[in-house]
Amino acid sequence: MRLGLANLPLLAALAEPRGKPLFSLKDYCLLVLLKILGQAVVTGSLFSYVFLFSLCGSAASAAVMYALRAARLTSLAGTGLAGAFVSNAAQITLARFFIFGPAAAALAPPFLAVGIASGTALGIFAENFTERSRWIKDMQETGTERAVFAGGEGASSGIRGGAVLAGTAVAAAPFLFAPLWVKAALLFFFTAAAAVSGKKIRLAAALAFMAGIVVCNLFPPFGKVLVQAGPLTITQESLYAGVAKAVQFEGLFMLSKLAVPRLSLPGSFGILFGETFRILRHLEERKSVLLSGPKNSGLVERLDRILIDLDCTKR
Amino acid sequence: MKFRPADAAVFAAAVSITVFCAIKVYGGGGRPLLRVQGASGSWVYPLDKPRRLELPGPLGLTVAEISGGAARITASPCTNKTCLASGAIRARGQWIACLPNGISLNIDGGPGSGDGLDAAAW
Repeated sequence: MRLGLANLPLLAALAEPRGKPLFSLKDYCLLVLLKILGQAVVTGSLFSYVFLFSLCGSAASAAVMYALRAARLTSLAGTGLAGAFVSNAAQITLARFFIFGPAAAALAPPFLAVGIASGTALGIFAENFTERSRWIKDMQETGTERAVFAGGEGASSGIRGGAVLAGTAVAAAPFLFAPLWVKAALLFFFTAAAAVSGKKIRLAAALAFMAGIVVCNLFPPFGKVLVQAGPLTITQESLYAGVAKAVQFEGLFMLSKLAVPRLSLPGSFGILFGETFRILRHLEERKSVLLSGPKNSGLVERLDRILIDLDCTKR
Repeated sequence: MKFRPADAAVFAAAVSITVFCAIKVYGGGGRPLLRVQGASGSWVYPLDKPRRLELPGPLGLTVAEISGGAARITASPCTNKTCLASGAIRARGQWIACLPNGISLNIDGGPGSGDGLDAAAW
């Protein structure tokens, strides 16, 4: 369950301070693409189900948010709410078919409710930020290209593109077709390899997520009954299906973590992509300022200061 | 900040869908399941997916089928075939048993057969 904080730039891009749209449709689509790819590289999920979920959720919510704003129907609060709701609904639908099975329906109400609350809160924050931000004001005066996409170090480390993609596809194939013991062995191997290559592995989180997938797949039960305890029935087939899905999901995630290096892309999009990571590093370095800055300044002012500072370091 | 009228509509739609989902998911008696008890163990299957079950018993294989939200025994090695004559079961509490072969089927969860009207008169 995520709060959707990564939607903040999209909401800000849809703002119309002084009645003038901040981003064109082309720039907005570019930002959506950067968000999807950037998240995939940061979390190392580019070649996993997580990427599919992120892609569908982000694309659906971005389209709905743009349509609402283009029709001038909602404020950013309503836009954020609709975006979060559509994103969560799309992801729950995919989870129903790829991971959790019919039990995904049980997760839908709390998931959607959290989306309503976080989407509205994020929209209200985005509205306040774009109204009061000096950084946004500067951007409107100087143009988005200079303020946001100033270009920079861009693509540095090459990805060996096609070879990595082909190798990952070959390594991923057993997760779709091989027996469970092969999938389990590959999961162990990819996890160990990712750990050895210095990738951050959150073992407890991974095990908890796998346990969640297994538990969800126990409902509805089907097959030979292994354990019957009150209303709980654990069956052989549903337990096996849950373990297989959990191993497949986590195995692809570990493979993706291992295969996705610091992705660099050619051309002007590659420069934007590199710039995105420079901005991310800048924000991470100043996280403490954002969370516990001067007492006389609010969150909007602190974020604004960090972004202005970012622009100054660029020029 | 200024809200727009459609904000309320979006909020109302999102909350309505979420509440509808919650009632649909958490309300009601759950999905009906077929529980099978045999000599070599017990099995459970949802009634919404068609499947053919071959159930071993002391006399041989009893064959049951799930289709159209109902379950029935379609073949049995027993002599009197009462279990075949029992027809289909689809509501909570209904059952079929093949005593000679030690197989019993019953429906668990979902609406019961006695949840409707017993009789109507005009």
